Amino acid sequence: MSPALIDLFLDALTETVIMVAVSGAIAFVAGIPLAVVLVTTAPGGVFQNRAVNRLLGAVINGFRSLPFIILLVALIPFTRLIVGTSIGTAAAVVPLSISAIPFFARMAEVSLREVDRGLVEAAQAMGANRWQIIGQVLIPEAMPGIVAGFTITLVALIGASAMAGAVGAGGLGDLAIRYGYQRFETEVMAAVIVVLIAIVCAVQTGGDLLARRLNKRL
Amino acid sequence: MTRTAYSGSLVGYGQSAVAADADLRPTDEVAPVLVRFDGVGKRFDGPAGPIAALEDVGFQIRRGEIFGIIGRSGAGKSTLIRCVNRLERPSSGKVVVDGQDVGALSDRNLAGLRQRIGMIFQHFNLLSSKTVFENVALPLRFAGRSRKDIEETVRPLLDLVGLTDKRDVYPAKLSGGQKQRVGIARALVHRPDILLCDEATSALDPETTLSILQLLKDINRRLGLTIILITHEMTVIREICDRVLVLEAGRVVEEGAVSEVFARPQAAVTQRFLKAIVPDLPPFIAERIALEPDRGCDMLLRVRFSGESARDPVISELALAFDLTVTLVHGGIDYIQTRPYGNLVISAPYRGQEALSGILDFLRARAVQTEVIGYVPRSH
Ligand SMILES: Nc1ncnc2c1ncn2[C@@H]1O[C@H](COP(=O)(O)OP(=O)(O)OP(=O)(O)O)[C@@H](O)[C@H]1O
Ligand SMILES: [Mg+2]
Repeated sequence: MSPALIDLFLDALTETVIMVAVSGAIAFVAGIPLAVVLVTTAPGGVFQNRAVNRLLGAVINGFRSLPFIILLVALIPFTRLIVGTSIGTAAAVVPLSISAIPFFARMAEVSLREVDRGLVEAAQAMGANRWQIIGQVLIPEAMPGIVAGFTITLVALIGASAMAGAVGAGGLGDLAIRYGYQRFETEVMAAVIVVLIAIVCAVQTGGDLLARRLNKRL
Repeated sequence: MTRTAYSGSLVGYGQSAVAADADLRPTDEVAPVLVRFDGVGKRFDGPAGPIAALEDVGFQIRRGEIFGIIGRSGAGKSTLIRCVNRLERPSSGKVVVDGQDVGALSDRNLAGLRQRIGMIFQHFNLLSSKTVFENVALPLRFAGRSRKDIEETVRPLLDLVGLTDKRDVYPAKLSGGQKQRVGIARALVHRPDILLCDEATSALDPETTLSILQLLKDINRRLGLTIILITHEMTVIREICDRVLVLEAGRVVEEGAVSEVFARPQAAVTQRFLKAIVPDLPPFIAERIALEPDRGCDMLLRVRFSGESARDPVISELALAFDLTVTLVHGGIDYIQTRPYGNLVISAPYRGQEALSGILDFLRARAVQTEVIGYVPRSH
């Protein structure tokens, strides 16, 4: 690869990392409260509320049923409202986050739901209030599973970020399409594939390691 | 040393300090009623219509008692005990704890009441993500206590349950008995008046069960704690309870002092439970078993042995060593493959506690598991 191409490559890598990191962080921060609401409003939960539970479940399912590429286009007006433009890396973060939030919320919900009811009951018997049960029992106990779910979310985001080239967001996927596919620079295509595989492996390994360290059940 | 420190720190803890010092158990006459159930009913909505888990349940528990509740699976035991700290709200009737109507408490007062009622569970319900210390400290953290305060409260409790060296270990690394000890320490951390035990020993082997029961009894004596204990094993009741209530299909079918109920069980369920402890004894003996020895009675011992000790003439050695007339009441030796397993009930004259401990030591030294079933008045 020529030095110019290497520069392009590094820029693309940075764009991918930024897109994934920022939308991942947003998904984490927004997904956990949503998951908590889903679990605690479910029947038998500490804030049991059928209406809220059904409504939120439906909204999440709605977003999850849209393919990312459609979401990307459909959200253009909304993106423009938020970041002022619908083109570029920052603009891509909006649809990426919107697609990752419900995805991760469902993952976190499963982990939270798996926390033994007996623990909630023990906490109630100790005089804990509902917020304490959420903050000091449900979330810490579910953390290994939440981390595992977040890892999967990040990997999915890496995949989705490749499509963000469609709104001029750049990134590795975009580079591979423009140079590797449209200009037949097989080298570029191969390099992108290798780097993507390396990133995914690193994220997965790191996530697994962290989840295992947090899991004291073994 | 450390245990003294703990009971020492209890001075000023109401009546319990007195009870702990003098090891006086309040008798039925003087101890005030601490828990009262008044016509308590509980209905659940099942798929096939409402299920009556409790019906018109009424009884009283006095301060300092160890009160046992026994019943078969689904009898409503857990539902009943959960009404005490309002984990379950009765559909009818009321539960009164120390003069307070539990059903009428505000959220804030309920939290206060729950701090005065410790609870332990069959499956321990420890947080896997927290160490032994953090688990025991949890109720204090919920109550917003300072770090120093927590440290000072938790340390002696870990001592009390014998887990000081496991302080920073996660529950997954503990045995069942150790987990339940953590549960007990956690339940005691607010110095409650009442300890609720829902099948606290059902997941443990017989030996560990015994050690946990011993600990509970010890706590009851030294801290003056009132214990309400659920079980489906009559042996647990016999081991530590003062009074027992028998629950069947949500109703109280029998209630009374343990010695009384064991001697003269009225309900059919009670008789069945009792039969499970002394299986297959001829009725003329089973009917007369008392829990406490009387003058000139015989003691009934169950002895279990296996392997080599089954071939040794342990029983005749016992008769010789103590100059006893030992009668074989029931049992025999089975062979599983070629290994002999003995399970006998023997009877011998009772000559006081000291002689009895001597006999138990003698048998246990020969790898014979021995258990005192009870005492029978000599008939002739
Ligand atoms: N939350 C609930 N919803 C519906 N039915 C329930 C609920 N809790 C208990 N029950 C029913 O109430 C009855 C009594 O249950 P409970 O758990 O009190 O019995 P138990 O004596 O503790 O039994 P076990 O020895 O098996 O623990 C059972 O028929 C049970 O199915
Ligand atoms: Mg139960």
